[in-house]
Amino acid sequence: MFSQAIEQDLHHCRKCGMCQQVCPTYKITRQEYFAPRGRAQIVKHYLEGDLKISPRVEQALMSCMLCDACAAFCPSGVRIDRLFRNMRLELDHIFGKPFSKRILFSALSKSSRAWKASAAARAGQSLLVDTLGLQLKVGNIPIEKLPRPNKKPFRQTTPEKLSPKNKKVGRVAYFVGCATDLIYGDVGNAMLEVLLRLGIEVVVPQDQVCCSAPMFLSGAAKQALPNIFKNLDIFDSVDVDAIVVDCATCGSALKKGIPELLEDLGMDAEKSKRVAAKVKDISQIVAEHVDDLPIQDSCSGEPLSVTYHDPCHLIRGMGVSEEPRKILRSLPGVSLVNMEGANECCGGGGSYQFDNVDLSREITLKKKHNIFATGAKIVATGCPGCRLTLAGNLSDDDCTEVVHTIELVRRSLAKEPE
Amino acid sequence: MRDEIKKELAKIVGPDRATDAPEHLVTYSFDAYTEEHLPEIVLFPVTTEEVSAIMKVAYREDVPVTPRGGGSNLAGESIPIRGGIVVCLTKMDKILAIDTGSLTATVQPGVVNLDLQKAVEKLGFMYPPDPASWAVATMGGTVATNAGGPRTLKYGVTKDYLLGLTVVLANGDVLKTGGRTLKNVTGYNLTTLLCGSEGTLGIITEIIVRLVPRPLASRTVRADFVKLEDCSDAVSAILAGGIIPASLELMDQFTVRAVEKSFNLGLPVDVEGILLIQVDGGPETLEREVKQIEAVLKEKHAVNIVSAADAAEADRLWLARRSAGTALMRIKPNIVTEDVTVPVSNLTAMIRKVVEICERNGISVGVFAHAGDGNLHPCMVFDRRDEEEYQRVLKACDELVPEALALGGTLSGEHGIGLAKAPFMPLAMDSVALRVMHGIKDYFDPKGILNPGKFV
Ligand SMILES: Cc1cc2nc3c(=O)[nH]c(=O)nc-3n(C[C@H](O)[C@H](O)[C@H](O)COP(=O)(O)OP(=O)(O)OC[C@H]3O[C@@H](n4cnc5c(N)ncnc54)[C@H](O)[C@@H]3O)c2cc1C
Ligand code: SF4
Ligand code: SF4
Repeated sequence: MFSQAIEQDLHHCRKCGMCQQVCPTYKITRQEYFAPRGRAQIVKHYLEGDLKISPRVEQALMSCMLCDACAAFCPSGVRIDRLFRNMRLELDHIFGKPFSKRILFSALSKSSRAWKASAAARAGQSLLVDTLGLQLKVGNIPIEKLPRPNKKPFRQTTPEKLSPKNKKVGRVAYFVGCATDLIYGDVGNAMLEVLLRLGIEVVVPQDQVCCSAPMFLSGAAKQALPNIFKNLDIFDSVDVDAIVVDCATCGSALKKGIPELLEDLGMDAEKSKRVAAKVKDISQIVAEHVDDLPIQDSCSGEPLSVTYHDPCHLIRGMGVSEEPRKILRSLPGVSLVNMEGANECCGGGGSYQFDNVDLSREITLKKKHNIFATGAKIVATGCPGCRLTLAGNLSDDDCTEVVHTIELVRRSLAKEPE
Repeated sequence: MRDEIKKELAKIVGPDRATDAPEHLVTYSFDAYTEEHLPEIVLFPVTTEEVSAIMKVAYREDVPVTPRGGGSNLAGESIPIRGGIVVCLTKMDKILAIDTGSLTATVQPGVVNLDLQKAVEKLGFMYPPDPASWAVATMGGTVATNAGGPRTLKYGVTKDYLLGLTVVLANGDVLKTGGRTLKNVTGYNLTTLLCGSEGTLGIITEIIVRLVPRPLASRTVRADFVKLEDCSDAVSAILAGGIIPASLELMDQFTVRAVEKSFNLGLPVDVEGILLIQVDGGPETLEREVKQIEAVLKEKHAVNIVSAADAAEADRLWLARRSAGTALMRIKPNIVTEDVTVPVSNLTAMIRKVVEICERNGISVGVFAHAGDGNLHPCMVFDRRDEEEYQRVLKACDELVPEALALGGTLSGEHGIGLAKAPFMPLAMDSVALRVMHGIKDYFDPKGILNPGKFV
């Protein structure tokens, strides 16, 4: 399972400990077991044969948020995140997944099943908590704070091709993540509207499926592969300038995670690299054309203070952080206030909050504190996972709304000429 | 260690803060040095009383105890080489008081250096000791290693800011040294004795330090030299001219090339040395000092002098120095960061020796130095899996030390002795000094249970 490159990487860890300063789980626990280099040592001892797979080995690996902060920071360039992901494949290989996750993964690997689960959940939100697991079964978020699922899956509400009214300046394919498809349909609508107003034609391939990051990041590569191949076939064959995502996790999976996974599994990664080269976050496209945006020219009243949270998968997974800020700064009536630790994990991390309730809560509390310190009325971000975590933890009397950056762009669009 | 003892120890701190699980033990078998050894139990006390209770049991049962902070030391000082207990102090991480009236701060040992820096900076003060590892090194660890940093030249090292300590002795007794006054000559200076004792005399559980007002402004200058000799002559000349910069750092050609290769900062790769100089203080004096420094640099044949106009530009200049360690680390997987220190006037001679010794042993080496205080960090890069190469690195270290001593230098400037330098102690100290040291150790730790296998 472990390629030579990864073992080599492990060896490059010089144990300097400098990564402690960026690791959210170390900063809370102050224990090496929850620090990048400590976890790397565990993997090393496992590979050398003097540690067997055990629940504690599993906890060390599964309590890592895969936030990438350590890999981005490490002076020696150690790809700790890749190491852990591979170790998780190894764990899955030996253990199999706990039952709850199996249900979830089978649901995600077939969207129809996911939809059934989420539709059932619309009837009683508590069911949703039990069935949908991953994005929704969240140890820390009170049920009433969970967003209502879409009335209908977003993809079913949109045609396969949408053409702009005015002059066409480009053509993109839209990769619709599960979160937009199932719960944040408004983000999908905002995406389409903004792209079309920019003169960009949008293709929404109807048979696309979940990007599978939640699965393969947890070690369930086997369940993930059919989805991955299906998406690659679809998106490699559409003739577009770019493949656009509105979910940081899907984006970083397509851009980085999947090609690396296939490489690590010793598979052909050519097609995935072709696709990866075209993947762009929506904020990248909008930032590029920000001057062409048909924005309301006037705005009255107090400027709306907005702070921006960098999703791990956007800033480190896709290398995107300046673009959303550029967009926000250019919106009339918005004043962007920076928060301390904007690039630090929110504590969400996929199913993390479910597996590591206490740790996750403390990490989120820190984030919440930093958000309040800005006094902002709105938190903009680019990942539904972060959004869910943040919204779920900001209480009602704080009056802080959490939105996707693209929704703010849509709100500022000038009325379309009749 | 017998199971009953482990149980007794675990009871002191509670099961949540004690562990002997192999998966946890492997994470406390190492620090930033190359060796590893497993402890038998790791404890995370949160009060002086808990530490004292732990030591009472350890003393009674003759069990080795290794204190540990951030585990960022470079000389194997916190590797539990004889097994036993690791007492990890990272959870004692509260800043207990910042007294702006008397310019002191009282902290627990697990407070991270940078966290204290940020807290006092907000109030307009500075805590000068600033090791490059400040974002992870704990106050306990920096006191126990007497850490220094780039600001050492002007501001001194940890011991210069240390006023008082609470220390748990080997038998569990709690010793209080010093106090909150700047002046204090009441008896032997136990505070200074414990500073730099690397956990061999006691476990530090509370620290009182002195703060200074934050300097109003600073200026940064970079100068490139074709010849290394000119570069270090310039260092001496600046100091002789009566200016004490806050930092005066040197990078040799190998290091500069490594930085360029990794980061493309536009550094000149054909010069033998680069100096980075930072002065701080009031705006008017700074202006004058920068002019004076530039004149000296010209006189010493600097081929290029860059003075940063603003903070952002200064930051860019310092990025080169901050990236040095990183760039060197990327050449090969492992690195030994040497730490010999010589009188400033012998700096060039020592760098030349380092390069010659490493060349002779077939080892790649980059040297950067806190030039202002003669503290060299030759970084030897290698692959630990190649045992033969590792032995050559150790041999090069062996050869380096006598050279440094012959040039009037010392074993370690700031990283300490630990495992790495312990064998050299008899070279660096005469028998009288060693006898006194052993006497002190015997008094504090008669059973030899505190961080055994290290420098004494
Ligand atoms: C990248 C890098 C850069 C560095 N730069 C510098 C630098 O510029 N200057 C410098 O001086 N050092 C530097 N160091 C070395 C190291 O960071 C320092 O020695 C630091 O002081 C160690 O602090 P720590 O908390 O990590 O202590 P540890 O490594 O955990 O322990 C160091 C020693 O202190 C003892 N100890 C720790 N806590 C206590 C306590 N509470 N009571 C008694 N003994 C205790 C341990 O037993 C051990 O002997 C650097 C290290 C790295 C990896
Ligand atoms: S992962 Fe990188 S930063 Fe962390 S200890 Fe290893 S080398 Fe240092
Ligand atoms: S990926 Fe994030 S949580 Fe995991 S070890 Fe690295 S910094 Fe820590």
